[in-house]
Amino acid sequence: MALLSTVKILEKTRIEKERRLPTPGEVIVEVGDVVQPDTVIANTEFIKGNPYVIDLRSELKRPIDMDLVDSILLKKEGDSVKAQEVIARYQKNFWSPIIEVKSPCDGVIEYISRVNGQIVIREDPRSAKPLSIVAAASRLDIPPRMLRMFTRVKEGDFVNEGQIIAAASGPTRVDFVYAPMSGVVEKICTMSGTITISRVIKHVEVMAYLMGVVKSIIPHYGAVVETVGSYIQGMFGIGYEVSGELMLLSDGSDQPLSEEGINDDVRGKILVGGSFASLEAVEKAREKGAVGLIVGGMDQKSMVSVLGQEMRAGITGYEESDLTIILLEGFGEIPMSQDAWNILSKNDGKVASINGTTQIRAGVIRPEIIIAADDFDKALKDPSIEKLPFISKEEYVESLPPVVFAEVQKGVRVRCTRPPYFGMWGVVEDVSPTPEKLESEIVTEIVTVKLDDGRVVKVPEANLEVFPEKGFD
Amino acid sequence: MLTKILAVDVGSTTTKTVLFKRENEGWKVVGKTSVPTTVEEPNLDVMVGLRNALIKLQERTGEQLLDGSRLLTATDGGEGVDVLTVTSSAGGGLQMVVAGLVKELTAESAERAALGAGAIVVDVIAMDDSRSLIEKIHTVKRIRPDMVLITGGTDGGNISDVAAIAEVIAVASPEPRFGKQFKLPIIFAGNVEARPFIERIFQDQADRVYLVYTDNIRPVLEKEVLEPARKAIHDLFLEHVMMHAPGYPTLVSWADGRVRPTPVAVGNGLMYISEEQEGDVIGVDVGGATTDVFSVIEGEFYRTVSANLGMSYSMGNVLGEAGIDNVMRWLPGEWDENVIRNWNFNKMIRPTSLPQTVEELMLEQAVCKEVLRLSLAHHKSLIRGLRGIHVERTIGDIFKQEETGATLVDMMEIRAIVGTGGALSYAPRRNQAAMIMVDGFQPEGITDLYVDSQFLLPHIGVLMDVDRDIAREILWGECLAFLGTCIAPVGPRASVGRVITEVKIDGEVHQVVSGEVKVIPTKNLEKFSMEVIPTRNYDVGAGPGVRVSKESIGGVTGIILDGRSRPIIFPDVYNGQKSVARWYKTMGVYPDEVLDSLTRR
Repeated sequence: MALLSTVKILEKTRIEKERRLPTPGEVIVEVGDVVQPDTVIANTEFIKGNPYVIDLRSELKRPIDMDLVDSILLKKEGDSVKAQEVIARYQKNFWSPIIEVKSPCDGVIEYISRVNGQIVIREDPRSAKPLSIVAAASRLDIPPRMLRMFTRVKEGDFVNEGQIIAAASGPTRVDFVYAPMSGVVEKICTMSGTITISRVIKHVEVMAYLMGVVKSIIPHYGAVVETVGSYIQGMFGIGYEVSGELMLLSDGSDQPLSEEGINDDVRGKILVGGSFASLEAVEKAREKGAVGLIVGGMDQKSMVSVLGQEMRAGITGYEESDLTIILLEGFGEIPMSQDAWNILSKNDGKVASINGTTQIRAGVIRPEIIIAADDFDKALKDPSIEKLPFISKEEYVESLPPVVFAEVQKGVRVRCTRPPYFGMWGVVEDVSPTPEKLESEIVTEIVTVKLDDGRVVKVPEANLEVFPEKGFD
Repeated sequence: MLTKILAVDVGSTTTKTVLFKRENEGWKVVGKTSVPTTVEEPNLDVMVGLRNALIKLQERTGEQLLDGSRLLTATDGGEGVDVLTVTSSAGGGLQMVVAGLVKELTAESAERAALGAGAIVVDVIAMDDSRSLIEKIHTVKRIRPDMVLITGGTDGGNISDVAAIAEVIAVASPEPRFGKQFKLPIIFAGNVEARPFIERIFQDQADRVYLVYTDNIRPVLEKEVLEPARKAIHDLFLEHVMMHAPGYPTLVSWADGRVRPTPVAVGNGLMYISEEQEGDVIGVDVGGATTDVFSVIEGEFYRTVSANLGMSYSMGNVLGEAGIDNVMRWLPGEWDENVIRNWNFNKMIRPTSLPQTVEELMLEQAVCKEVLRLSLAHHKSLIRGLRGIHVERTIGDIFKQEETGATLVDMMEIRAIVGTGGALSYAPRRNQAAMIMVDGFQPEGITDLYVDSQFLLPHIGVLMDVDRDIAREILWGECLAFLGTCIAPVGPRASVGRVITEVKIDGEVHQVVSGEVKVIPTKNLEKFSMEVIPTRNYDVGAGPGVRVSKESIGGVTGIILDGRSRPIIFPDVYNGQKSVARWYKTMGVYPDEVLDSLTRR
């Protein structure tokens, strides 16, 4: 069976993308806003809420068992809590004082261990303070001046959320003090018996990525942006989202990218080649400040050179690459499909948004190119938009299996996917009724193909690619 | 009397059917079909693909197998089949999370139990792994397993930490792959005294979790008991997991419960081969995305899955893991590194394509050798003696310098290697499959080589439980192609050309020469007597310099005399690449004219 190409090459389609922060923050746009790729949709000052760990053994100063934990808890997993809200209450007997365990912060109870008596509260980052002062000596029931004998960190150390920063072990118990957040130990004070940790603040933004209109808001996290334009998928890519003007540097879909054309003008642009980009051309493009490259094919070795390391299994897109590269057809020299070339050359000079993220299977993700139409905002209001193909935000990860088969028939236009006719197009002249032997001595179904250069050759059916939009010759 | 057996294998990509029929000369394969598996969209029903396959099988064999959409069985007046067996790895197989107390003790034992039961172990959680508690919880939440195995604590030992690790699973509350209506099976195979605590931890999740108890995997530190946990996994797989996969309840009812995860069925088959060989065996299934290595060591079955080593989707990763030099060393003549890299990655993104030229086939088989090498190394690293146990040592043990936790896989003790998977089973020449296994696994001593010529080993494994005699007949008659015997003496490195062992076959003397590989053709399945006489310092299985006699049979390839040392050294006589060409010529692996043209360039 031949391979059915499921790569999308659409001249006009409706596209929507979800643009979302990893943690709650502030959404800056409103529904109906027209956005550019570099428009900030939402931002936040924090990476995520950090967990505070409350150790009931330490709070109650006694051993814990599951029954006791159940009996004193006033909250359960998933409950929201406010700072200083009582989350557990314990009284040993009628005459004993009541011990109340309070939440140290606003947040959500993420985890309660009935076995170990630990409660983890995920802090709401919007209420987080830049500093956290931990009353370590009081927690450990030791004199403040002796605090340094029990600390496990020193000033200047970076500590992780939940890390033990001080501990005291006695004959009957062990008490721990946990870091309530990730940050740097600013001060260990033997006067007050406290450990001060300052939060590492990181500004996080999510951009629109494409030119379009804000369709809906995701409260506290971001928005859905939609547009009308061209959408092209590739076969493999590296590098994450970038946008820039398209700049054609080839004379045709079957011509390599011209190295001579790479000059200072490429800065900030997405270069488009035809069949191939050499390593020299890629290095020059990087040096001159191009942000993206779209080409039919490229040597895998060149891609490794750009990355600085071998490629391994899994999903691409998260490499530290200053150039997002999308191969539309494969590795080596292989002409770009004419449809893709026509769309890209028509949009020479227009702004495109591209993403090199690729996952081969277990949820196929293809690298993509989005070029918004000039009149996208008007097109979005046109009722005929319902008739357009639609790339929804859920389609980022494809539901199709990684390989879809097709039967070939006489007259169908096909492309060869392996040597010795790699990348060549042709028309099916005959399908052999019985399997035949190849030069490699493998016996398989064979197809006779008349290549565009006039040669009539025999190719294994498994090495042919069929394209659904192609008609009969 | 049984006369027709239908075997079905539902894989991730293809559903295969095989019809066996009792004919005058014995049981034969009378027809086979292969169609795309339909467990994912748009069909979402495995039976759609299976019925397509059976319709094609009817056309090919002329046998009536279906009545409309119903399978015809022996009760249908002579039509139909007597027995249906099913093996399955569709939907990615059985995906499990395992949890134990200590990474290199109970958690590792749990991983072995799950792998041996045919599962894909998605994550191993241990109290002492490097992740924080919150990270562990989030990790388990993200994974959507079909089943969870929890172990930890010897019987009468640790309870609180065992309960703590169970609590991580309980709090994470992973949602199973098959959705909210599916009760997630959780097997507890740890300290029996911790059971009441485990019960308590999961008591609020009775509507979402199906809790099962089985014998402790490590009842004492010095002992590992995997079989009860494996059986529990297998039973739950059939009763719970498969019954929720789309179309599977019908499939299970057709097969009358005779359904096994594909790797378990392969293991069954290998156990039988090990009994016949009277020794340890290794099996390998080279897939597109993953490679399974199986072994039977002193009667115990083991399995590992190298998740990112395979001959199609994982091609790119093989290059990254092995390194380009290790692939290129297997290629004769000069090759452009770019060609190898591009071809490798193009195969990854178009995984179903085939090598049309001999050069491409060489490239593909060079990569396959590295897949075998890496996956065997992975297997050896996981299949090892129990760690953390007190071992009384004699003076001899001290000199051997074995430590607890050393691998159990001793290549000198391996009596047979069985290969399956497209790259091996469908290699155009059997000699190529033999060469791949010898170069990739580098067997030591005297080792028989087999290839599963028609992907029948999983079916044989299930048939073993139906009728052992029929299974045996099909195994040796239709399934396994005996390639031959590899004789690889192990000893100190010798200069190229030096005789290191003599082999007498029915009185005729042949020499194993250092740095060279030779093949002695034999008549397929013809019996002969063989005496292997290593020179001093060289071992072929009975000790340095000790001769070994055995009765043997001829294989398709013959007897391979491998003097290339272990690990294989590429001598630089005529430069390294031309030695490779010479080895391939001697073995008859590729056409001579192609080898000559490559070594000339």
